[in-house]
Amino acid sequence: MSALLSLRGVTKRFGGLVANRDVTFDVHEGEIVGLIGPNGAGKSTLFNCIAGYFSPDGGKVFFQGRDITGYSPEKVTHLGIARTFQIVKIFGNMTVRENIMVGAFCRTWSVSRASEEAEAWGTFVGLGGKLDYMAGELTLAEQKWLQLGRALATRPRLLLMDEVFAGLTQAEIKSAVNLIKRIKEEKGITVLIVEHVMDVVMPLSDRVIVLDNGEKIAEGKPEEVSRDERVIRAYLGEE
Amino acid sequence: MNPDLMQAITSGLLLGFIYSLVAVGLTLIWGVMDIVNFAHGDFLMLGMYTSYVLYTFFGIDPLFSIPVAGALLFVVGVVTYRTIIRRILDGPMLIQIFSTFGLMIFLRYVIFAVFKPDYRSIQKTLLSGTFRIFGVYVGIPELVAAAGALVTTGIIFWIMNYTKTGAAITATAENREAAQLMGIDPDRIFSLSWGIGGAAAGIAGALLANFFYIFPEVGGVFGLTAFVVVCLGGFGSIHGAFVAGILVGLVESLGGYVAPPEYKHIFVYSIFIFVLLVRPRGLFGVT
Repeated sequence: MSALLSLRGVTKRFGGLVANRDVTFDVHEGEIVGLIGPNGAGKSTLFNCIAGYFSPDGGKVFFQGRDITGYSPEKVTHLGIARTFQIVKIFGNMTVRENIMVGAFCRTWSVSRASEEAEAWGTFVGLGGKLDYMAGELTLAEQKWLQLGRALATRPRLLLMDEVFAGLTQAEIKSAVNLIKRIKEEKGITVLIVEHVMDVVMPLSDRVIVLDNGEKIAEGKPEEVSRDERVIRAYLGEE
Repeated sequence: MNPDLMQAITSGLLLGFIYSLVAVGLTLIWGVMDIVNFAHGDFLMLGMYTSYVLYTFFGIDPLFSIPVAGALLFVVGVVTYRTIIRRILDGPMLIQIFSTFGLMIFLRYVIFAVFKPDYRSIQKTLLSGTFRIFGVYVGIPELVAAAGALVTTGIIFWIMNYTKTGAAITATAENREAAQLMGIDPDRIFSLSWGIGGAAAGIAGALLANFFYIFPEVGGVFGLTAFVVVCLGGFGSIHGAFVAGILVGLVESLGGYVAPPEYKHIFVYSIFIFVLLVRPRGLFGVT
């Protein structure tokens, strides 16, 4: 099985600080992969390197076998990688429908087609009844669903999700987990999810990659990783 | 109704449509990238000179110069973005102000140098004459210009609200980063906004060339009025600029009716100051 996404020795520095050092891993089609690690481990930086917001200082990023290192975010989106942000970035003065339409326009010029897609994806993420609400009026959780629906409307093969669970209630976390499973199972979209809350991401992920101080310290099935000494140490902060 | 009053209202409306079109171009650029194009009025001036040159040297009626001026100023807008604006996008506000202000001076004095400061006009056009309706005199060039401005504003409104391109422009204006995530290249959108903004000014200039004096500083009057309109309508609001343009046209015309015409601008700028004081975000502006 060839990898959908491959990172090879990705390194990113900010001045003297090394945010990612020599990170290498693969994500295969149809997986849900959790990218975990304590705060400041370099998870978001790595996401930005994949999604085109940062250009890595070293190493390569491959998507479907194609070298996409240093591609701009919009180009990466067109190739089939979508991402959501930890802090929601929606178009607040546009309606829910219009927000998702902007995503759908990534693949079509037709306004009516984009509108249909907006309805479909809006319903999929549970906002079917609020299509004509202004996005700025939605609750935080709804804005997160909207962000997700909008990302899905760009028809990605790989979805990068940055801390979707942050700021959600237990009930909302539950529906988010369900939604992510449906994205994989019904839509066949591969998901790479950044999270620092272990107990949510572990049962959800097929495989887990652990970052600490910018380096990959473990990779494997959730139950294996959670027994790994280095991982336990990283999370408990022991020397 | 008093025929003079009706005359004033008619003239105000006709002029207002032109103001709307000029202001729509200005507010579009403003809304998308928070940059004020001080050279906007001079884009309009270039549109007028396009008509003048085509008429004087090639005998082309100004009616047919309208699309040419629109296309030319679209290019001028794009070139302005690519050569100047792109470099100062993230610069300090003062730099942004000086750069478009500098462009304004540059364009104005290039035209001074080439065409001299003379007032020119285009005589004998396809559109000339007036007709009388309900006791009101309507100039045919003015009527056609107003209609042309209305149609052009309508087209821009349609693009902004009912096309993929418009959605991309609106999304970029709202959140550049999120727009990129949706596969939108902000650089292309900025470029396009300057093109559309320039074309709006160019078309307005070519429409005006049918009946208005053409001189190097003509952009100053229209540019300044466009600022008032944008401020009144709400920064970045297309329909706000449309409504406010008509209002300003009416105020200017009615001002010239109730007071000596040379005082008409006092009314316009009084509104400007009043809006700044009472409702700084304008009629349709979002906070």
